This record gives sequence, C-alpha cells and structure tokens, in this order.
Amino acid sequence: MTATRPSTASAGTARQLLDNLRHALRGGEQAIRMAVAVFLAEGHLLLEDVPGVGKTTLARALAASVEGTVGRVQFTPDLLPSDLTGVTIYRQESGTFEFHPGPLFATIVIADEINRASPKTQSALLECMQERQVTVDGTSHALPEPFMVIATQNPVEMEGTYPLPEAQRDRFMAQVSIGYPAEESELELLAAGGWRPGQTTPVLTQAQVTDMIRHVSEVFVSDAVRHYVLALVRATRQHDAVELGASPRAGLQLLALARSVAALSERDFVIPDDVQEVLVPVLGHRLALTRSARSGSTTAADVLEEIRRTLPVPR
Amino acid sequence: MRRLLALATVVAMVGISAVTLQSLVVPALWLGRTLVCGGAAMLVTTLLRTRTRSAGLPSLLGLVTGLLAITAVYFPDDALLGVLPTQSTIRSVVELVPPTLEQMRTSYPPIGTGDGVALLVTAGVLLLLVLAEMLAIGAWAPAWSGLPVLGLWCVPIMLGAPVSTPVLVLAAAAYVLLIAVQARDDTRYRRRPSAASAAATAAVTVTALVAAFALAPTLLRVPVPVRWHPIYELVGSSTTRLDLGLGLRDDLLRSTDSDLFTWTGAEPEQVGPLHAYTVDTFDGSSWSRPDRGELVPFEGQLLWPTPTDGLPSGDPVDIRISVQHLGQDRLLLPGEPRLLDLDTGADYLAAADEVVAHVGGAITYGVRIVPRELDGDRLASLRPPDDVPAELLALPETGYESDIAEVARDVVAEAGAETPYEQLLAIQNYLRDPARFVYSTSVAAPSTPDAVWDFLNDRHGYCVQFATAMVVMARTLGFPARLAVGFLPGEASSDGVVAVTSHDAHAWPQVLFDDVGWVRFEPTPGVQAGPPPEYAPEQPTAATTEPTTSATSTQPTAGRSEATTTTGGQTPATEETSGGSPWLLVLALLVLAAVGASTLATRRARRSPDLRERWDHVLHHLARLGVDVSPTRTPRAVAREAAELIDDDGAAALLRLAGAVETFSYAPRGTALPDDAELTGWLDAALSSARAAHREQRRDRVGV
Repeated sequence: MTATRPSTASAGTARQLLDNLRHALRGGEQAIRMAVAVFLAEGHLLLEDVPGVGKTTLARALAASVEGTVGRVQFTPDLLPSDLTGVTIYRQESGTFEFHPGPLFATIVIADEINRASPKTQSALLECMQERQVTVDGTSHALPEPFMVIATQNPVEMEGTYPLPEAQRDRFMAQVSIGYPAEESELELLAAGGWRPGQTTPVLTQAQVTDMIRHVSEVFVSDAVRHYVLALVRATRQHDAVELGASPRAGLQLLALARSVAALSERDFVIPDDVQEVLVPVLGHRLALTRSARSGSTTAADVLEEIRRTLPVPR
Repeated sequence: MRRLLALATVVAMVGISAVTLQSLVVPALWLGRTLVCGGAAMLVTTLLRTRTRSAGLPSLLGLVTGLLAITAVYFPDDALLGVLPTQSTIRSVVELVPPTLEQMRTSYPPIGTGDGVALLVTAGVLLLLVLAEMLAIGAWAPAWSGLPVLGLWCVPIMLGAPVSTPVLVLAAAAYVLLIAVQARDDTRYRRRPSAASAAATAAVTVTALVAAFALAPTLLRVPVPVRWHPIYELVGSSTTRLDLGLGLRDDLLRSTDSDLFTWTGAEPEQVGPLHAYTVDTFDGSSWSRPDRGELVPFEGQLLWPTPTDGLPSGDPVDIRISVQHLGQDRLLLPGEPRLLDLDTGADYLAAADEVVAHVGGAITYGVRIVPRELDGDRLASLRPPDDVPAELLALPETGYESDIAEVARDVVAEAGAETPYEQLLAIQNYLRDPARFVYSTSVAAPSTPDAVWDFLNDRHGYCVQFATAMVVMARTLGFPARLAVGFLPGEASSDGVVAVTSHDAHAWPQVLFDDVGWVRFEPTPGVQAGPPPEYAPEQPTAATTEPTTSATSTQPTAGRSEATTTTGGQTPATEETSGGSPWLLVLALLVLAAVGASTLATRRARRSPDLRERWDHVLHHLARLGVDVSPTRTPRAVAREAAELIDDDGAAALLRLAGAVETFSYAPRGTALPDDAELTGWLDAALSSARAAHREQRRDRVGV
C-alpha cells in the first residue's frame, strides 16, 4: 500500500484494463483479477463454471481490451488438432507448401468447453501452450508474444466430455470460477443488457503489455516469501487427503502469479497475502485428492485453506 | 489478578518501609493496630476500584474507613457505636497530641509506651498507604508511589536513627516489582534487545559487578572522602539535647552561642563537667548507646554507681542548676557522688550513671555534691576492678586495634608509667601535649576504617576524638573505660551565676577503678576543655602545683573564640583529599565508559526501529479485542479484521502500520520506511483506538 514504486505507466494501464473488464463482466471481481494477473504472468487460464455466468464474456473482453489478435475455438468431440494449429497446403501456382496458421496463432486464444474435445486434440493444445510453438509437418512455427490461452469448461455437464487429466491441468497457471454475480451487479446487468463484442475497445498496446509483463517479472520476492511458497507447496505433498501434491512447476507458477497480483496491487514486492490470494487458483486444480477425501466431499480448496491456516506466515 | 498483585506490592512496600520506624517506636506498640486500620482502608479501596474508574474516590472512602477504624481501635469508649467519632473523640485526640509530641521530643528512642505515639504512627502510615495506593493503582503512576514511601523513610533518616539494610532492600524490591506489575504498557519502549543494546547491558552489568565486588570492599576500607554533615550536631541550638550518635568523622558544628542552662552556688572548678549520658559502645567511627541497666526510682538516696560506704569524702558542695529547656529526659549531673533536690519524680540508671526525668521544659533542681577524696597517691594504689562488663573493654574490630595498642604501650613505656593510674595519666598527657595534638573543630577525611587510628596519625580533632582516643587506648591496656557526654561547667561571672552555652558541650573519658568508681580524665587540651582534674595533673613529676594557672587554660574564652573562627571558615574536607583515591577515578572512568556505550547503543537502536516489535505489541492489544492474531495470519489480514472493530482513524492508522510492517518484512532491503514520528503516530492512534474499543467491549459485556 505504501512505499511502492511501480512504474506509474504500467500501474495506470493495469487499472484501466481491470476497469474495462469490470465494465464488461459486472461482478466476478476475483475472476477478473486472476485473468489479468495470469495474462501478465504469461500463464494460461482455466475458467471452470456453470454455463451462462460469463466465462466466454470474460475471455473475449480480455482479448478485446488488448491490442492484438483473438482466436476462438469452440471445442467439440470431432475437433482435430490441425483445426487448432493450422495446416500446410500445397500451392500449385508456386509449387510450394504453404502454412496456413490455425486459430492458435493469436495473442489470446479462447478455447471454449475444452473438455468436450477428444484427448488427442486436448493434448495438442496443451503441448502448444507449454512450448509456445506449433510444429506442423516437421516445421516449427513460433506463436506470437504475448500468448495466452483461456480455456473454459463446464463442470456440470459430464455427458460426452473428456475431463482434463491432472497432468494436463498442470499446464494451466490458474483455474478460477466466476460465480453468480451479486444482486446489484446482476440488476445492473439486466438493465444494461449483456456484453456485446464492440463494446470493449483495446486499452493496451502490444508494447504496453510487453512492458507490464517485464515489470511483473521484476517484482521483488524476499527470501522469507520464497520459503513460504516452498512450505506451502511441500505441505500439499504431505497432506493426508492429497494423492498427488503440487509439482515444482506449481511452485514456480504460484510465485509468478503472486508477483503479478502484487503488481496489480501496485506494489513492487510480494507479500504473503499475495501468495495466499493465488493459492487456491494456482494449486486448486492440480491437487488430486485421495478417494476417501473425495467421498468425504473434501475439495482441494478445503485442503489448501487448511494448509494456509496452519502454516505460519514468514516474518 | 494484576490489580491484586499490585495491591500486594503496594502494601508490602509501605509495610516494609513502616518497619523502619522500629528503631524509633517499639513495633509492638503500633504494628498490630496499624495493620487493622490499614487493612480496613485497603479492603474498601480495592472493592471500590472494581466498581469505579475514578482514581481518587475509592482512596477517599478508604481513608475515611481507615479513620473510622482508628477511632474504633484507639477510642472505643468515646466512639458512637464503637466506630463513629464523636465530639469527645476529637477532644481526646486534641488532648493526646501535645503530651505525645513532648514525649517524642524528650524520650530517647525507641519509644516503648504511649497510645498517642502509636496513634500518630498509625495515622501517618495509613495516610501514606492510601496515598501510595492511589498513585500506584488508581492513577496508574506506580513510580510516583515511591514519594509517600520516601516520606516514611525520611523520618528515621532525618532523625539519624539506624535503618536496616535488608529492610531497605526489601522495600526497594517491592517498589521495583510494583513498577513492573503496574507500569502501563508502552510499546514504544518495548523492543527486542538488539545486539548493541545487549552489549551495552552487558557492559553496564559488568561495571556494576566490578564496582560491587571489587571496588566496594576496597572503598569500604578507604572510606569515601566526600562527606556531608549530618543535620544533627553535638548539641541542639537552644536545648540541652545532646546527640549521642557521636561520630568521630564529623566536623564539630555549633550553631548559636545561646545560654542553655545556668547554675549557682560554687566555682566551676569545684563542680567539673556535668554529664547527661554515658556511652560505652564504639564501632570504630561512632559511638552508640545500647539500652542497658535497670531503672531505680529516685528516693533521695546518694546517687553513685558503686558503693560509697567508707569512701573518704570532702566537703559537700551545694549547687542549684536551672535549665531553660531540658532537651532530653536525662538530668545534668556532676561526676562525683551527689544528692538531688528534685520536685518531680525521677529514676536512676546506675549502670550508666544517669538520672531519667521526663520534664520536657524548664527545670530547676539542687545538687549536693559529695566529692570523693581523689589524689595521685590514692589513685596510684588502686587497680581496675576484676569483674567488669565486657562492653567496657570491647575494642572496635577495625583491624587497627593492635596498632592502637602498640601506640598506647609506647606512650606508657616512654613515660615510664607503672601503675594503672600512671599509665592512664601518661595517655592523657600524651594526648594533651600541644606539640603532638592540635585542637581543631574540623576533622580530616578518613583514610582507614578506624577513626581513632586516623586521629592518632592526623592529630587534629576536638573533644570527641581526644576522649575517644583515650577510651580506646585505655581499653587496649585493659582498663574499663567509657565516654561521658555533657557540658563543661562554664565560666563564673561576677554575680555568681555560671552560664553554660552550647559551646560548652563536651565529651570526656571515664575510667573505672576499684573502690572509688568512675574517674574522669581530661585528654582534650586545656585551650578547649580547661585544666585536667587535680588528681590527673599534666606534669606528673611536677606534682600538683597550681595546675590551673597554666598559660593555656587561663584564657579559655580566647581559645574558644579562636576555635570558633576556624570553624566559621571551614568547609567539608573534600578539597584536601580530592586526589586521594585512585579507585574513585577508576570507578568514575568505568561508569563513564558504561554510560557512553549505553548511549551509543541506544542511539543505534533508535536508528532502526524494530517495527516488528511494535507490531507485536499492537497484536497483543488486538488479541484482547478478539482478533485472531495467530502467526499464520498476515499483518494485512489481521489489520483488516481489526479495522472493523475500531474507529476509523485508528483503522486507517492500523492499516498504514500494517503496510509499513509489510514493507519492513518483505520489501527489498533498503526500501525507505515511513519515518519514526509517523510510525509512532500511527502506533499511538491504533493503540488508543484498540484500547477504547476494548473498554467498550468490556462495558457492553458488563451491561449485559
């Protein structure tokens, strides 16, 4: 709060970005914040929620707020990997093979209902997310910078879906749900009507985004906070209710997102509160609970909350 | 709980301090009754404190209770229903006070009788107890509660009564405990000891230990050169009251030259010095006077400590002594067997040869002196009695007894003295020798623990030094001796009335002989004390021819005024010995070093305020509000939760403070923190809000 010295430009633009999204989504403050934070931390976001609460709206509004291209793919069981990556076509006129980039070649890619696609397509997407490049017919094509995938999935409709395995979920930096808006927000929404593309105009240039991303990576993390992150991650591995704990990558991403959140709070160092704020979004979808824990209707969020409550904050 | 503990320490502090009065008033007289009255007052005060936040009201009511208790305890017959004071109670008090004051003034402590004395002690202790309690508990100012207690301590200290060290230590411990228990938490002064302050503390501790264990014993052997004069003097200004804690270290101070008493009927030489007291216990630097002997009612008998049957006596001398203001309960007596002609009742203390009469004012009485026939030949044939009380031969254990004994033996050997009488005469004349010893009202700074040894080396002093030296030297030779304290007989004037002034206050040695009893010697030079007794001439070989015409003794007045002149210009003997003790210099340097180190450490500690410590203190207060302050919670989370419970200003300050703590804990090293004044401001605001909220919570709870 006090004693921060973020570059004022990026602080201002971050605020603008957040305002833009709030305007579009109405409610879902935490989801908005996480979406922006993940974007600035160069991660990928998994939005899991019931239909109609604004998953797609959030994704599209974010994409629209940033100067850049947007790719949108509606995942279906018959979607093929090449539908995402693009294909190489032989041009008879020139007698050469020409690469036609797919929807992945965009600043922000919206993967709607990712759990509806076949595991084959899913893993193709996830590989691209990790590698940040597309390999088609032996040729690698780099994806643009910045690059973010916002995947949505519907937890209720289980018929004909292919839930992402834990290993795959690990590639998403964070998973958030939007939740139903508060009463006033919903009333506002009814009054103003739903969001339409075109309502939101880009507020960030590519250069600004790059600048902000660099700024986030420079946010200071003290040894104490680093130890705290480590302790949290390790605690998930030792917890009784957890079958598979958080990976080292999870720790890295926890720290990265905490940095990003700190920057959004216009602070140039990470405090334990930042780590706690992103704890469930980052680790929640990565923990595989034991069968008995699941049957006891314990959720990963419960486990993480318990860990947070028992682990002393560094000083 | 804490209040009870604080109350206990207050009561302990005042109670222990009250025990210092034991050397003035016998505890059995007042202790029980004071406990009852003080206990009643404290009970009421404490009960009321749980009901009201006012500082003064419970104390006032407690005081009233205490006064009622005093009424019930001291005047059960006059009081209405046994407790309520009536007009006759007040009359009783008014009637009781003047004789009590008179008794206190004339009695030699400790006072063992008199309800009035007990009443005054009880009332005083009660008042101070209520005051101390109000300051310490009601007003939350425990440090100030030391003041009333100091008042209690002042009584024995001002009167020069001995105060025991354990009592002082216990009272001080209770005081410190009280401050620790009751001190208001102030966070600004609480911080985790930094390395520097730990070092400073260690330095101070080491210095203190060195001073206590290495220097103090040395300094004890080399007494501190800086001395101040006690407020008591050899004799009071306008009464005959004599100070009996005769210190050999103190300069002789005499205030006014007023007449204390007069007498008529004889020449001063016939009467000799008049003593009020005799003392026999000497500790190496001052005399003290233990209670001793049995009081025998005076019924007109001849007063003399030893049997007088068969003693050849000279012609009786009748004198009439008129005292304007007798400042003690002892009459002034000549040093020969005597008969008294007295209006009031009196008791005779044979062991000390004192007459006890509580007069407290003007008194005139007749004395018939029946002088023993003492001369050199007779005394030379006498020996000290075989069976004498041990205290008359006791030597102070200063480590210089053998040195003094050696001097005494040398003196005796040099004079070729053989009989006890000759030996004593040799000592007297050794001390009277103006070539060796000089009369002076100021004494040199101590250089050994033994004041007599100092005097024998320094050779300056007044009657107390001369007389004491003779007593000690006589005792080293095995002669029972003591010191008599009283007045020189004064000078005759033309109308036959002899006036004795405060300048005539005197002390002289007495030595006990077989058959005749106590015999006076006069080691103080003639310029001050007049001629020696006829039987103890200055020149033993020159027989007793006209000892009174010696050049020095004819003009005592002149000599005395000379002495007074010296007194006027005197200062405490500090300058003469300022370079005296190297130990003092070492001690001063050590203390300086410790102070310097401590200052440095404090400054360094102040430069980096340990925000964490302050925050912990805030947490402590927030926890009382019911905020979860467990270590698993971040400063921000705690501050946000607490902000809901306290007022807006406090909340804002608290959030800012939490922000500063975050910066302090998690920001890169060197990040600027808000300055100290700002932090302190936030801290105070947050704390006062937290306290206010806490009070409100409690009040709500009580309301329910």
